[in-house]
Amino acid sequence: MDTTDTTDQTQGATPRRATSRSEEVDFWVQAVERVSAGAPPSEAPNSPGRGRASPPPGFGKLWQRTYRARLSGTSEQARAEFDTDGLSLTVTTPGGRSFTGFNTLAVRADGEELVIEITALERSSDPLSELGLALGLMHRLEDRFWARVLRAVAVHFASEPPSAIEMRRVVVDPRRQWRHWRSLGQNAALRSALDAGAGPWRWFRPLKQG
Amino acid sequence: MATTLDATVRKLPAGGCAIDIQGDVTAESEAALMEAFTNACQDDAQTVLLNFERLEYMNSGGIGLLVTLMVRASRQGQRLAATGLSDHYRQIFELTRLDEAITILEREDDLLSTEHPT
Repeated sequence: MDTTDTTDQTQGATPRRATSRSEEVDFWVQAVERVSAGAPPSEAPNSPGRGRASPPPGFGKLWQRTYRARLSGTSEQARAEFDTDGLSLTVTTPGGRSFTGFNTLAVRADGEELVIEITALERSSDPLSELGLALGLMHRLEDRFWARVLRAVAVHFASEPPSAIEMRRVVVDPRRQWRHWRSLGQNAALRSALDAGAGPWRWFRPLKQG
Repeated sequence: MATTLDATVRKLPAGGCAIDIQGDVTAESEAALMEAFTNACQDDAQTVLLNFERLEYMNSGGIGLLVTLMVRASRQGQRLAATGLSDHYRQIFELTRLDEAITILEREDDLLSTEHPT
């Protein structure tokens, strides 16, 4: 698995352990002030131009979610590949997403099994997302999303999906950072909803001008 | 390659404590780093300086540990500072915005001239 192929300038990443200092430097992306995602699809009008994000400036409680699957029936070659150091890849979230933080995917061999683990260290970005967490809705969505990611990764290494996924959720910091409440204005879901709501106005505007 | 971290605590002449980090900082370093931090805080040090001069490797798991450490320090009314970072790791602190919460110093002595000396 070549992790360099999965990283770009839009997200920070820490792929597998490097074998030398120079190689290690190559594996980290360079810092960028603004996310550049190329031409966005029409259904994602506000993804480019956002700043990078991380747990320090987020809004809500700091959570650490861990999702782990143990895969049996993997090939000896696959286990040997991850035997010594394993592999890990981290992405930092762009601004505007509901969560701000780091998501790490790690794969390592453990005897006859491969262990795939996803760790999300993140805060909600704004009060609206935090409300969703408080109501439990966002937790369910996150759990469902990461379980699907884990299963999707698992099929690369094993013929059968994992029989069980362990989930763990702990609060690392229970405090909310109210000074960041203004990030609500960057909430991509909210902006998309407003954009969709303004659709009729855009349809009629050419008629008025004509 | 085994992951190892040697974290030793020493008092600073100007007050506060320093944790000298040697080796690798990864998710597996949690026990060693947290123990060192607990020891550093026994004397109610207002500032804990992380000395990365002999850091060999740090991955994203290690960055996550630093976030946890930062939260612990903040809860206890302490501040974290870092020194000895190579250009590469300094960039990573900027990339992950840790530099907004952890004061980065060129030299250990600079602790005296920062805004909130102990």
